[in-house]
Amino acid sequence: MKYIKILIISLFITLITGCYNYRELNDLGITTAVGISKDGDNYNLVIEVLKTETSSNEENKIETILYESSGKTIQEALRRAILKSPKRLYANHLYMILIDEELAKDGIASIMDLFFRDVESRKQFYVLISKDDIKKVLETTDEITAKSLVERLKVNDDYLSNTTPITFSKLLTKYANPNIEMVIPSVKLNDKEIVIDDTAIFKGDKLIGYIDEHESLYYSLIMNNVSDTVLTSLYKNEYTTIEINNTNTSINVLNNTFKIKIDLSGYIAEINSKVDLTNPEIIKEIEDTFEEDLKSRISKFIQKVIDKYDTDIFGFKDLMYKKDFKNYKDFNFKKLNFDINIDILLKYKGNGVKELNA
Amino acid sequence: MHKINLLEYVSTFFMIIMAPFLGMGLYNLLIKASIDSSISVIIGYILSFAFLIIFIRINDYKSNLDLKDKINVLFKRSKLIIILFSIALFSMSLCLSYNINNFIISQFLSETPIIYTMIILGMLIIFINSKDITSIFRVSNFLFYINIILIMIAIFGEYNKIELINMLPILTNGINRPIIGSVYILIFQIIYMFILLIIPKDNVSNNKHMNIGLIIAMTLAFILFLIIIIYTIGSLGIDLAMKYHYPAYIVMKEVSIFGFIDKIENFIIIHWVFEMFILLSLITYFINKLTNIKNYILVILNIILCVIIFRNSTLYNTITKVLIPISSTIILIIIIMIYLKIKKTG
Amino acid sequence: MNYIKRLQIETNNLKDIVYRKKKIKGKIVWIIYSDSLTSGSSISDFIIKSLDRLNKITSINLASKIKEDIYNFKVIEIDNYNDMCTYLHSGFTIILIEKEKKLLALETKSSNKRSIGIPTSEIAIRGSKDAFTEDYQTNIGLIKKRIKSNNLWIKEVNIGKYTNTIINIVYINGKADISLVNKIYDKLKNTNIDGVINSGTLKNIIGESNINPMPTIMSTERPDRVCRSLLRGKIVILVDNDPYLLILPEVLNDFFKTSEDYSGKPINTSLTRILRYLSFYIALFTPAIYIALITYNQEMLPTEFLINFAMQRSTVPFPAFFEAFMMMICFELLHESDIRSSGFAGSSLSIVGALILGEAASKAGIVSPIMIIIIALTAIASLPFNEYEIFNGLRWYRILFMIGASSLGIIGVVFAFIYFIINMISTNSFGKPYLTPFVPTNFTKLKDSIIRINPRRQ
Repeated sequence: MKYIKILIISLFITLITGCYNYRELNDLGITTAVGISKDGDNYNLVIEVLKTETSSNEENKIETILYESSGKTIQEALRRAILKSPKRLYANHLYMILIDEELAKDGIASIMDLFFRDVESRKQFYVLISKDDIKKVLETTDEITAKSLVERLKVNDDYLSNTTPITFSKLLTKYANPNIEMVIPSVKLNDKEIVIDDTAIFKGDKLIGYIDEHESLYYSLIMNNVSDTVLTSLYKNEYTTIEINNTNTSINVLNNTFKIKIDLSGYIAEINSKVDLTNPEIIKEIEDTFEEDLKSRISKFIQKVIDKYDTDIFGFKDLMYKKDFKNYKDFNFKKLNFDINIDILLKYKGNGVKELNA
Repeated sequence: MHKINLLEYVSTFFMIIMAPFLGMGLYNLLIKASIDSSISVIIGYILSFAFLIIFIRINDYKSNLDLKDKINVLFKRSKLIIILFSIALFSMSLCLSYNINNFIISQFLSETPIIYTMIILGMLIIFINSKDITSIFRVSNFLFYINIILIMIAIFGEYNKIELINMLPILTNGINRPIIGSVYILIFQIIYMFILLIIPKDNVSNNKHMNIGLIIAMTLAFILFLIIIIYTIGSLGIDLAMKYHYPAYIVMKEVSIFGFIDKIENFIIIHWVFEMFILLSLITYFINKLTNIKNYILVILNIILCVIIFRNSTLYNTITKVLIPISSTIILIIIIMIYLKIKKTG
Repeated sequence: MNYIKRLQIETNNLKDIVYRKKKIKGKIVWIIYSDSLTSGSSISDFIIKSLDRLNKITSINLASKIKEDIYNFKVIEIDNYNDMCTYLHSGFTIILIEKEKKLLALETKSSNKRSIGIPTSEIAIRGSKDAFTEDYQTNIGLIKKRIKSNNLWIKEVNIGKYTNTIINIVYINGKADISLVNKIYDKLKNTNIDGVINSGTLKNIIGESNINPMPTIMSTERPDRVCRSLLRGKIVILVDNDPYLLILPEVLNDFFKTSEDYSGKPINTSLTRILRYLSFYIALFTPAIYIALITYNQEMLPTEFLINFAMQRSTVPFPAFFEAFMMMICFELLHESDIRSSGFAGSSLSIVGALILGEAASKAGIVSPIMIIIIALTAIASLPFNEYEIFNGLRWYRILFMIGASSLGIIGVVFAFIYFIINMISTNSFGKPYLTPFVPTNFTKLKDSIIRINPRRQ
């Protein structure tokens, strides 16, 4: 019995050499961005891979290299990249994927399925639509393009909230849910510089249109995704800006009407008209102006989405399914009734009590 | 022979009930009861008290005999019952061992043949069964402590990523689906608690408090089931959660502690490996005690049959859907027969 | 008598044994002693002088008269040849009275023993600084100075065919387990070995044959540790000619306690204990987890680390586990040579040596810098224990984990961990489970394990 144990233990030890899943770090081609576009029947991929050989200069600068490959499906194209790259691609630390506009108009179902099924990839990467040629977008800098872009997205999300960056896992949840539609930000090349542009809206898995940056701020407001932002509007014929640092949105459905209640709180950042800020009625006037302005803009935006695009990106149908299941079958997106109620609370005024240029 | 501590006994009970949940249990529950899984957990908790009462009654009857001797005392044709019991339990252990090994192979080591991890796990099971029975219980007590720490990490690392609104709407299609779901919970998970009948009650020290300990362990296990379901459906959404093979593992990928430690799903899922190991080794001990077949023969048979029968995971799913309910029902019928006979004789 | 002839033949007329013949009252009295072991002055002062004085007193029974009246402080009556040889070789003087066929042994040991010094291998920061010596009576004296009670019982046994070493089993009656004492006594009495030179040999005789490489017997040379263990109910074994005493039964938790813990605040001690447990786990797992993360589970590393490690490893020609094994062997070589050269615990030199060697090796491109850090961390973490055997025991388990990590990654480490746990839990240190306060969970003992609460108990 003891000999059988020793035999089996030595079998275990022989697994050391050449065990099947053993991958040295040098064998990995660490992929940071994948750009997908379609050309007739073929998928064309542009893959950004890190260069991990130590260069002769000790600068510690991490360089990337781009590979292109094509194939009938995306997975085939990914595997065929081995014709050009000396290492096997390793997509676990992916920062983002970039989808071409034309391909998005055709439908991104195959992309969703590929990354959903892949065991090696984590689903924390960001998804972007590219309006220009993908290769040119990824070629702009020598360093890791994907990482800088993702950091820009995150900073934007924290402070300005007028793009709607989304990770693949949340995108999958939205895609699998038949009652809500996807929204993905897009990038554009502006004279050798990558600029985050409009937001693309989808119906099913096809891209059908764009909403500009103000509208995507309103979209984030409705979806309760805003952390910090600024709002500008006319007050007494001068542009005034308030900075918002706390928002809360709740949507309730009652008698087939959606009541959207948005609570914002913040402080006055820049005021150009000559008013006396010590008067609480002036503050209330400013608040009311902003509320009216915002309400009309959001109403226009929702109506535009309903009439022009006919996609339920806000998830009203989903909300009805979850909260008011009995009337769910009668839901018709075209005949949506909604009612917006905005409440802005200006708590602080910054450093000054009065306006400086009085 | 040393006595088994009550804390060790109760912690083993907990590990055995929790073990199949993260794999087959959650997957089948979500398919049967989709959004009403939380209701079926609650109904399952109420129904599991029936199992617990049967367990306590069988345990109290002639508390110095183990299950094999009790069957020999009660029935005349005890050999047939023992053989049926063993075959049913053995087929369930086939499904369990394939489940855990498939998980390890498909998520971590995608190019290794499944037989490697099966052999290593089998060797460990043979090793622990060559020690005294108190060693198994002590090992499970120790692994229970580690499990609690890992589960706490998983719970607190993720509570800000779930959206509770994903849990609605509930009870939209009537009460049928939750009840079927709760029966599935009982069949896939709670049935394994009867393995602990192999230990005579007198071998457990201070067994006056055993009943309370079992109730506490059962409650804790069901609370954890509820928490896992809330996290899974709340974080992924019900439609996506039904499409994954191991949804609990996918949810664990989102755990992030203090904002910067965030890739520890491989570390946390270890607690499932521990629980399955304890369950498989106790099943082997049980069949060994019941039929006197040697341990290593059972493990080798397990490995060979798994490799032959389950060629891919789709085949596994279709076979499991049929095999486990049949085996569970056989075991349940035998247990109820024992219970009725005990009631009749005294 | 023919005892003397027999002794002369058996020792081959050894010049060291002196035979002195005296006539007292017409009876021949032989005085036999070993020259190197006895102090000549005590023999001539006490024995010979008092025998001369007895010459003037008449008596029939000379042996009993000598026994009562002789000036020496210890007189033992013996009646067979083997005992006579034993006492002769232990430094006693034998008085052989021919006509009455009686033997007497008188203790006249010379004092060629070392004086009490400071402990050389265990650091005592805030404790007593005396250490045991090679003479077993001095050692018992050091124990008795601290435990002044009638309940300090000692059992004595001689083992060894050629060495006839005196072994003392010391315990406090009422606190220690009498059955264990008897078991050890029987085992020692029935052994049949050539000789016992130091106490480590006894570890193999009375120790249980476990596969577990972790020790169950502690050896120490400080009296305060011995006395603290005696008060806790442990059994201490003294071996003559060895300053290291054995304390048994020991469980894993006892190897993490030092005596400085008891002279500080319990809150501070708790942190130190947690640190020691942490270093235990670091010493076991660090190389294995590093290998697993680099070669199989790269998804667990943050991206910056991954890039960094990839750039470092691109200069190294060897695969990761081979590099790890090589560095481990280098470190073990350094440690071993350092012990042989400069003393028991001169480990700071070996770590500096490892770092320098590692620095040169990494510049030459043989190992990567991160591997040197990992091995240095492991080495430092495996040293702060109060028993040297733990270092050796950890080595085996570390190799086991590294093998597991090289073959299956993190899951290999998990499987190896399960094996480790089964091994530790199923070993019994003389009847007590090895992981005692943790696994058969004993809440009162747990107060003195990983943290210290309630300092009123000792």
